[in-house]
Amino acid sequence: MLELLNVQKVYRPSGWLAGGVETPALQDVSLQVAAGDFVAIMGPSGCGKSTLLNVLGLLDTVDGGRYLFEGTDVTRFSERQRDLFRQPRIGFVFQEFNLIDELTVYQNVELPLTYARVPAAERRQRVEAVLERLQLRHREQHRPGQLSGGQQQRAAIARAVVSEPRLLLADEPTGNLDSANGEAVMRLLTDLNEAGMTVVMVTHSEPDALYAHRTVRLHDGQVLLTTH
Amino acid sequence: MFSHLTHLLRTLRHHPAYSALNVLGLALALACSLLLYWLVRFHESFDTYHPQSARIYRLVTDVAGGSRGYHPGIPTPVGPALRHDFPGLGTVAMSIGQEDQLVQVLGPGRQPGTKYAEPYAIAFVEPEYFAVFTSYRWLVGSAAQTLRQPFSVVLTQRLARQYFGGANPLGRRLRLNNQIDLTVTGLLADIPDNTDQRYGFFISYPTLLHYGHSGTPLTLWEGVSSQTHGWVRLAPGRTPAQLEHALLALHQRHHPTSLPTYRYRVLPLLEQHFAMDYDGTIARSTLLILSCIGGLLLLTAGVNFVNLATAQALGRGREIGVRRTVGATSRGIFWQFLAETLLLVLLAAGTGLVLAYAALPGLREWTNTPIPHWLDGRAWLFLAGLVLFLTLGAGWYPGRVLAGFRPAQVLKGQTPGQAGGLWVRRGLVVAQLALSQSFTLGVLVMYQQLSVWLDTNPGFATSGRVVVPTPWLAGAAQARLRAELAQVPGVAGVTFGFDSPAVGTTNTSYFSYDRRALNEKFDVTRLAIDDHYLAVFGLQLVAGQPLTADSKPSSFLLNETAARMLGVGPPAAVIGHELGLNSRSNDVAYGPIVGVVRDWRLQGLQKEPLPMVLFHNPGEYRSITVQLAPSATLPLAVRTTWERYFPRYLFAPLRLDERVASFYEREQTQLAIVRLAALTAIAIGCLGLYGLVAFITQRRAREIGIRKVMGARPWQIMASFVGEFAGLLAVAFVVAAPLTSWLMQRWLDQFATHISLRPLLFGVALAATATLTLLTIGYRTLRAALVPPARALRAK
Repeated sequence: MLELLNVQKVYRPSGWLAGGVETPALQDVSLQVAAGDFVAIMGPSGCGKSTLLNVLGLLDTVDGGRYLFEGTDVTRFSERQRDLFRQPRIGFVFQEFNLIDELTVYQNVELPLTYARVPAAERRQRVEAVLERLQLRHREQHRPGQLSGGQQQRAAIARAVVSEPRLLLADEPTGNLDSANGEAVMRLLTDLNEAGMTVVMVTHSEPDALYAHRTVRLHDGQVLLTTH
Repeated sequence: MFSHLTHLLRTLRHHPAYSALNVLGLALALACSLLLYWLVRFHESFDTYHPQSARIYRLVTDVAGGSRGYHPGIPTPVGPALRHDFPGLGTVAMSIGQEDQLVQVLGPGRQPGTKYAEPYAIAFVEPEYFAVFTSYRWLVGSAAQTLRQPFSVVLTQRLARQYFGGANPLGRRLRLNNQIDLTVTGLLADIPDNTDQRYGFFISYPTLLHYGHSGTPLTLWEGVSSQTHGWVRLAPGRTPAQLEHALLALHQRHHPTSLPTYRYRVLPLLEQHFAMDYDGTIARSTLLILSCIGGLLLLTAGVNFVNLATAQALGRGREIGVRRTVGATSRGIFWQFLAETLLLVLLAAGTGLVLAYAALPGLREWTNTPIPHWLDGRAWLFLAGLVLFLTLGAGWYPGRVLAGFRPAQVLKGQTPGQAGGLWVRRGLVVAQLALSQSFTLGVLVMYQQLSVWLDTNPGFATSGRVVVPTPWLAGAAQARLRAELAQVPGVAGVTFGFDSPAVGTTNTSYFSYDRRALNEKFDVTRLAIDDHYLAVFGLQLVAGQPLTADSKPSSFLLNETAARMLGVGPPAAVIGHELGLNSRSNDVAYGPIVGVVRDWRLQGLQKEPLPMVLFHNPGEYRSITVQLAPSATLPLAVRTTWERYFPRYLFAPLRLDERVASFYEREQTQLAIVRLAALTAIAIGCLGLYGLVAFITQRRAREIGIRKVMGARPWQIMASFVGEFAGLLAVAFVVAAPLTSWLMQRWLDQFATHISLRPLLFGVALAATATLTLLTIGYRTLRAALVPPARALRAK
């Protein structure tokens, strides 16, 4: 489903003070993810995990190599093309949940459907269904600040999956949660994966990584090892 | 305080844009307020410098029945009669001002020297004038010594220097309008600018008997000239009511026949500057409006500050949290912020002071007013008051917001208490937008009104008409001069008259109609014309015949207003009836009314037409008007011909269209001030909007990132911002439109002819502010919308 070939990513600090010192974030990364796969990406802080995830999610561009998404070469996509390509295909879950504080849980979950111009009636149906599934119906009119961390992450997952993407990218989804809530989130991701969704997850936690089919270890922007 | 100062300097360095926006907004408002303060205070100070100015009164005349109910002058005999009949009442003095006179300096042996045009400096005064106004400082001589004899003149230093340079002016001679020679017998120190008696050239009163002056004759009870003023300085213990009573008694005793028409009134000296009915300079309400404008500007700057400061406060949560954990109290945080605000306001006050000084010469020119730059105790007090007001007004709310942060919460990185603050900030933005819209609308209405006036035909032809003030000329010479001027190529017409239809100084007379009463209940403005006058100025007859060379002597034309006020039916009904007009020498000329002329606006479209009578009288001609052929300029031959007839006079041609435009000078000035205020308000508003949108986009960067990850397109992000501001703009309009339209309607209502407030004007104002708002917020929101989501998500 996803195929990275010798991908390079370099950070050039902006501004006149930076003087052009470049920091390589990804070097020669090649990776294949099959449809229905569940991949964990691990490695120490600053090794390029989040960069890799951003590249996979079309949030960031690469400086070298190729990226094929379901056979489509998306390497040279413009920002507009990436936006349009990403929206129906990829869902995101973040460590900090990234819910919008001013919106209710319901409105947060509805957001991707609004931008995708899904008709109101269908939106309602789908949001209610996903909230039901994640046991958040009773919280739908609350704002994120009124929820526990676990509930917030469930809401964020609901938002990520409401438009039924084929790929779910999770950046340390349990990083801000206690173990009980963390486990619940991991079970949820496993369920989604078993229902057919491809999941790529960045994590620091070895136990979490055990939920994945395989683990990719990164060090200094390079793939060290892939374990099954 | 020192630690606040270092902290402030740090803030200034770390947030240069924020600080600049804040200080600049405040400085602009302070500068404008200071300028308006100077302007208002200058007007308020008029004639207050005379000792015991509250006891000085001017005599004016209310006219019954006429459309013009008030007259700034008084019949000339009233003053002497009052002095004679009521000696204990106070000191009485008459002054007769003379406009547009020619002064020629004479050398030894009366050798003619340089000529000077004096538009308003000359007055004939009784010696008592200087006992009423005791502020004049005599450098040489005294009123009693110098102004009893005819042909003597007292000058202020400025005029003496102008005429004689550094030489001793005493005993030197000046020639007035080529008629009489005057000897300088005294010298006065210069007078301040803030007086409505701008005379500096005082001629002894007895000289009037030898001079063809423009006021009413000394013995004429039945006529008033606008430049003939009576002054009374009440004796201690006497009241203005007693003075009014004395005036009535005197009127009954000396001239009971004019009792139904004239009523002598008392106008306090300190009110005359604001008494628009009696040719005052500026209405008190206008000063009030100017003060309100200053206040509104300060308000918008304060609002701007609160807006930026609260927005910025959200970014200071961590700093406040750290301060609180190391021991700062909530109250301490509040006072710290207030001290910061005070320092910023002081910085702005300094900048504003510099700006005000820089802008003052421009304002002087715009308003045609010699506004002084007072920086005395009162002005410093005013500034200190403003600083205090702004510090408290602008620092209070953001200070409270900062002091209200809970340390545990802010240190965890949660944005504190923003839901309430957001509404407050929205309210403030609405207030700013409403002010900007109000000012824009005000400027539009005033501008529209002025252009309509300037474009509207005042009822007579103005373009290509050049008026030349001209001395009296004997009948035969008049005919020759006309013939010669008419032959100059480029000249299409020539007419003699007292003045052009745009009459400057009006003279009114009593008159009778059909001898149905001794005098009619209103008096008429007199205008001597020749038989080319109507044609040259394009004045139209609505009934009867024009005056021609064949008309009977003492034939009269009335204007529509005069005919209507007679109350005998349609204009044509007065034709053929007899009119008796009091002449300047106080006898009556009787003759038929031969025609009625369509009304014209002799003093601009703000004022109603006056009742007028037009007649032939070569003795009263004071001007020649030359009608130029289309697109011709004034030929040199007109000047040379004129100067051949009047070698001793100044050729001072005046374009009639410019003179008509000058009728709207006051409104032009008001427009200039409101425009300045509008620009300032809009500039401050834009600064505020820009600052606000910068902070909002920064604060919402992460949210924008999330939305983009969820599939939002950049235009959708922008639209959400624009939509929010458009909503605020609409609310502001709903607030501003009715208030401003009420205010502008009041402004318009003071004029006889005015535009109506059409919806289009409101639309234009709304569109203008909307465009400006869009431009102001556009750049920041566009930039925010285009940030790649990966970067936006990294923002905390």
